[in-house]
Amino acid sequence: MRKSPYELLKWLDSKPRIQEVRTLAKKLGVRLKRTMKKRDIIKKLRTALKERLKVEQARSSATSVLENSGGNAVREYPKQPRLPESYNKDKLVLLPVNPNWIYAYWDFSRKTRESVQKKAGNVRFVIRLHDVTYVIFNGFNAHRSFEADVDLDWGNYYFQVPNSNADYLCQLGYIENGRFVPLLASNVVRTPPISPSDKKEEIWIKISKGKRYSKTSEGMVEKPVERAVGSSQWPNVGPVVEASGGGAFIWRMVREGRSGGTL
Amino acid sequence: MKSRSKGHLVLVLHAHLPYVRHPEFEEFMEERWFFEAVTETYIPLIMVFERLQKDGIDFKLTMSLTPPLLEMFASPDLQKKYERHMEKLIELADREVKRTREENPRVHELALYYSRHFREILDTYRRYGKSLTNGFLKFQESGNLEIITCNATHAFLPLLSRHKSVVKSQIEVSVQSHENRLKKRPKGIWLAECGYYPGVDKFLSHFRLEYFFVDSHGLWYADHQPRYGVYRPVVTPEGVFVFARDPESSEEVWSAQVGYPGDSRYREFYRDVGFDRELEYIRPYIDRSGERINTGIKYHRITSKGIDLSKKDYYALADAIAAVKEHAADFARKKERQIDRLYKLFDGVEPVIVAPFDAELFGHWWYEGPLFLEELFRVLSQRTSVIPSTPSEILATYDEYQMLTPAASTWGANGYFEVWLNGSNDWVYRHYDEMVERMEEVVQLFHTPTPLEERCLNQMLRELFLAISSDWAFIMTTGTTVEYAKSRVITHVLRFHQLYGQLKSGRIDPDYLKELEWQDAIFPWLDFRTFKV
Repeated sequence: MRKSPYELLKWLDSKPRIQEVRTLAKKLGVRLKRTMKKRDIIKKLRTALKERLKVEQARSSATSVLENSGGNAVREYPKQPRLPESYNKDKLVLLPVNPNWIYAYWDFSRKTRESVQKKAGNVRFVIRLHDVTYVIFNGFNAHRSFEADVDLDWGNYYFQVPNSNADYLCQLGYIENGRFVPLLASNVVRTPPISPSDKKEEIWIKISKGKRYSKTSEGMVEKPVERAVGSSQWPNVGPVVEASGGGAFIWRMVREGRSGGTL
Repeated sequence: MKSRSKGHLVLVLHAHLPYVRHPEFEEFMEERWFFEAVTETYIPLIMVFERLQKDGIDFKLTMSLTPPLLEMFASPDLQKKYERHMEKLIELADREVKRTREENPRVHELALYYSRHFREILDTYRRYGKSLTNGFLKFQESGNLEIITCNATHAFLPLLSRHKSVVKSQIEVSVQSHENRLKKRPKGIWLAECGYYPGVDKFLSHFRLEYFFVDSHGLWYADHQPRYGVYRPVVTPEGVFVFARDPESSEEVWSAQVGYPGDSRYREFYRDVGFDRELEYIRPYIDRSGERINTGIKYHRITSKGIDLSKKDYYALADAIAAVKEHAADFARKKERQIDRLYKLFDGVEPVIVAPFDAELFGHWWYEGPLFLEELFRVLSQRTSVIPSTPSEILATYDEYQMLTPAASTWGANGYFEVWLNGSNDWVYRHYDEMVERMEEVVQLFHTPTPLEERCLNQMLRELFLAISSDWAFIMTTGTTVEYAKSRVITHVLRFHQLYGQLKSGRIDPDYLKELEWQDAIFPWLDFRTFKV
């Protein structure tokens, strides 16, 4: 395991044996004369390590703490080892973004990837989104279904959806001879509600007695003023939506609950 | 005629920082987040509590101290680094005192203030044995402060709700961390980012957490309409109580147009000697690379909005304190009126006003924020209609509650999940997924692990937990320090996979494991079995 220069410097203080010191020098590519004494080797190593420490620190702290008006230069960040592009598993996942948007992402096993590659060029790849609110989906019983052409290499897709507080499921597949052939099916997600309930009853509980009872609901005693979502201009940042009709996908980074940015 | 209206004010401060601790480096820029929050928020708050207590003012405040923050408070290397940081800051303040003798007397006066003030901060820090946990505990014991917990590493639960293993372990560890560091079982929890989804309450109830908070629309759009809106706690069918955020209170403190922190007399955040002084002079006090940063010594006031930073006028403490007094009195008056109005509207049912904020707003962003809280409690102690209360006190007072299931919601921009899931950060979720699946697999596989395997499994869970902190996705959205956030996610994912590979192949590298246990040392007592559902 590679230790940081800082640690190694500390280690040099811990009275290491000459053999260990020589091994470290070799690892670091520090050249030694055969006649050198332990003390001299340590001195040489110290210089080399301090040099490295400087380089690493310059790289490690190459971000600014807070946005500043001081106009500081942005420095190069060290190259990260890369994350795997695929985990080689068949997977299609839905995540709700807000009452109007759903995010889908997918991945394939080697086997599926191969079979898909054979089809490429001959079929149309599509993603289908189904409204399955209060339904156990059997492939045909969705309230509504939506379809979009996709490039499987995208790996993900943002759907604008018509209903809040509704359950959605999606399928990824292709159209062959006018027929939809599913490859993967997703989990079910529910979009968050964005309207007050229209139920006509309230349920109450008396904690000490553990007793529940119901009352007729007349809604909230005081109607709240809800927050409007909008902007002085048509929001043209974020995914391009061909369909008209708004949606709450507006990238206003002013957070209500936070004081403008993370600390 | 005097009104007999009365109601409760529940002030909640959510204190949180991501776990940023780099023992492998002597200095690390992002560790300054913690130092700045300690100097400007946490210690000033403790000093406010001390003054209020000394003056016999029975204040009531609720604070969530998140598990990562408690871990950082307790970290010996961060403690050492913080002292060193403060010693240097004091050195700079002293140099400023000398230097400003020749400058404007108002600046010199401020330099003297900083030199005194930083010493006071460091003294307070040492007085509590360098552990701020002790500072907060003192006021929990006196009954002024109700400390609650937060899910383990501040993971954003609504987007992880498919994984019961994650939600369950995040909640269980939040309770364990609280018990471990604060020697007490937490009664309530702040869900990270106020992120609630129907179903999470089942886990809260399982771990005997009595209450949590939602944003206003969490109640407005609940499955039954809340009769009293956000002004009375409700209970979920799982038996967990819910407090909802009052939109008016946040707006008053917060709003970009009319909020208090924007007053011209308050201290300007963006003018700092770290940027104003010549490089030669300031170099020892900024980042080692020579990058300029905020030191915390600031001589200017907001002056007026939209004015160029270079045109800002000097800050005057006395004027700022006058503003604090005005604003605290104004806020108290507004709460009094609001309570009066609601009390009548509700036909004598006492309204409960819940005002949660990020703790770091007070002091770090709004320098005078802690003084505002102090002054507010002083003003409220003179009035009878606004009763500062903690959630536990309120739950002990009432017996009847409306039962409903709140709507999925957060306190992020636009109220839902888009801050933590958008084009800038959506890539993290497939990696989170893979880690969770692999963790679930090895938790099943290793029934009776050897001691080395057990350590490896525990460390894997630490890496997973650190990777899923909501802070990283949030930072990617806001666009500042994005590279650091990305590198944290990537680092923890890769470390996790490395350990997974070693564990499965039976070739655990003890040196590698030891290194990670040292670097990512959060929750030393962590037991991977918490991941079992």
